[in-house]
Amino acid sequence: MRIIVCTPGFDLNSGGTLVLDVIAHKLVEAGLQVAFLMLAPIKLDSARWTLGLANQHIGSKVLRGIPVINKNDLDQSSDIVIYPEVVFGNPCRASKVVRWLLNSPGKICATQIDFVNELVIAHATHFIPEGMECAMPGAPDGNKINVLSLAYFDNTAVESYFDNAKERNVSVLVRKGLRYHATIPKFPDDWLNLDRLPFEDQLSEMAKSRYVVSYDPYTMLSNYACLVGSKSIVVPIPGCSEDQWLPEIGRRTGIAYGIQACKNMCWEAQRRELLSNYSLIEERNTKRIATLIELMRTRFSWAGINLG
Amino acid sequence: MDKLLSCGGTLISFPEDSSNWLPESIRSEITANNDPSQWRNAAETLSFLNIITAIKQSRLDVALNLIEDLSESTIYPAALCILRARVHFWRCEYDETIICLDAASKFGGEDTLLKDALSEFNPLLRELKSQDLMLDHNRSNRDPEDREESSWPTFANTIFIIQPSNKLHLKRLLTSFERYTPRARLFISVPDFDFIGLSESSRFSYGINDGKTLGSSLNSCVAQISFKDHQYIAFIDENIVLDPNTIELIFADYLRLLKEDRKNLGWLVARKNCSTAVNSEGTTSICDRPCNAELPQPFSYTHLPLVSSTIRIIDHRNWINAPPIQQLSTEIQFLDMEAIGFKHFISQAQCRCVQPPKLDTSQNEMTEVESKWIRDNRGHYIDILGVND
Repeated sequence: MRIIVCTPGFDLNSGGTLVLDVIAHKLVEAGLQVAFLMLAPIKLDSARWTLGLANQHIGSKVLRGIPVINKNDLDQSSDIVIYPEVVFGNPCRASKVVRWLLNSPGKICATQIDFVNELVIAHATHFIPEGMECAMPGAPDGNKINVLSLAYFDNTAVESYFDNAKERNVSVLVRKGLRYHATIPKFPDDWLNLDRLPFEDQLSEMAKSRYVVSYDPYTMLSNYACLVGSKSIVVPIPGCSEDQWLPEIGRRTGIAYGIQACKNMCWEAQRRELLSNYSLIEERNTKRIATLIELMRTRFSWAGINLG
Repeated sequence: MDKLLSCGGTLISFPEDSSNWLPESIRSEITANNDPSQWRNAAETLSFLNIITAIKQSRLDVALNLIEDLSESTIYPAALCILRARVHFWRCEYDETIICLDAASKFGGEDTLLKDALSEFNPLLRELKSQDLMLDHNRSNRDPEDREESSWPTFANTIFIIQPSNKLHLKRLLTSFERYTPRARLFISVPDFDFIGLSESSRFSYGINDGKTLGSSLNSCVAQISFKDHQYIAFIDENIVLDPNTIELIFADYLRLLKEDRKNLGWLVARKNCSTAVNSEGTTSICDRPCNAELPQPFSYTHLPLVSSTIRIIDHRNWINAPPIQQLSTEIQFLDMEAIGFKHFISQAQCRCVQPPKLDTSQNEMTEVESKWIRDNRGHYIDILGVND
């Protein structure tokens, strides 16, 4: 029995792939057999695209040591398959499916999820579809959705850029912003758009900027912006209050939701709090992966492993 | 109605009749026949008219491009050189103005046009007296690193700062900037991201107005423009619009004060004309009215209400931080600067107030915390500011 994690690869510019990477490595750390199945964009029809199983292993993808299998190597009855929410249906035809909501279903691409037969886990409460209920933390509860936030954090990169002198007023992130804003304005010439830069350069440039403005309300880069010493501001989603944006107050640390919120921020205190939160990430990830294993054991009547 | 341009405090009038800038033969032809299809060289005539229209609309870059397009083929090189001189003159590029006039005289053939142009430009060029000063100014236009410390404010080295709270007011103000001072570079410190994109001009930039109070907003704004290479900063109240010559006059007054060897020059403040606005009392205060005294004149306490409600310009090296309070913050900054030896002046420049005076400048709106801050930290200003003791 293995855990098969479906992933498009490891990409520092994609928060979703980082979470999938953390899940896989923490499961390995817990002593489980883990493998990746590669995902690639596929067309559902002329208008819709989704993520499906890649026809072959994509050699250029970074996978950080975990083996990649083909669909044919899968044991459909015993293996547990973890799909991100973007995968349409159950292309592996596995009998044991975990569905990880790394975004609101349908927000990124067309998708299909069997909420009855799959074990659905949300990365954050605001990704839970309307009308569905959130389970109590860590308590398996029928078809209610559990929330498990696993985070990837590279502290060394943050430390190396923190003391960068400010050379620019504003850097801007758009990323998935057009999914939340009807239009993105043309930015002034002296604003730097970070979107197309590699992750290391994004950190370096954010550290040189007084403000980092993000039109993507949920990018982890907004947290990194605060950590490298910038004032990180998310452009408010029209009609969406701060509470609707991120219901868990703890997740707002280090980010101002709009300029008004920026006025009340003590940035150095926010940065310290964020760093302190991230210092606990490993511990939290370990606890949460233990919860995942417990949920899988219960849901799939699986003897699993004894972590105790 | 004549359009006024000022330089060094001298006002001259430019006739609005664009045809006066056309070559003599074109002018005669279009006066005799207003049907372009009948003109002998309609393409060239239309090109000249387009250039003149662009100059009149202050679209000087467009005018220069059109002139360059036409320069290879024109049969009126002298007239074209004179138009080019006008463009350079409006751009404060006086060396180029003289070169173009010189070239026009060498081409010959447009004596009347040349004579008219010289009679317009000469008083102003004389006003600038020193050729060195002009060269310094031109150098500052070309290479910021070569800028002389004594250079005077120009569009190249001045940034205009607006801290808007209302999009409609901002739009109106930007329109007057576009119309009258299209070369001005603006820094708009926005309270909300909705304000971004009101204008996509490359001369506009946006900052973040994240100050809790007016004073901290001003300080934050100046910190944000430190990334830009500008010697002068000019704060603009969003409730005004410009007159056609507001900025030219304030620049000219600053130059005049520098030439008078004014030491420790602080703020130079434009006056305002409230004739198009009605304040809460339906009246206009005395200090808002144009005064008869010779301008620029030293700032006096009766001018304090003008400080935050018009345009004010300063060499940014003379900036000192404003106190972190909402009400009377700019006024206290003025007094603080005066206390350490800076001298402020009122300019002959005037802008129009198109909104009632801000209610939040009223002493009645001042919070107890702010009154206490002033009593505790600037008790000696209480009488001047009229703060209750």
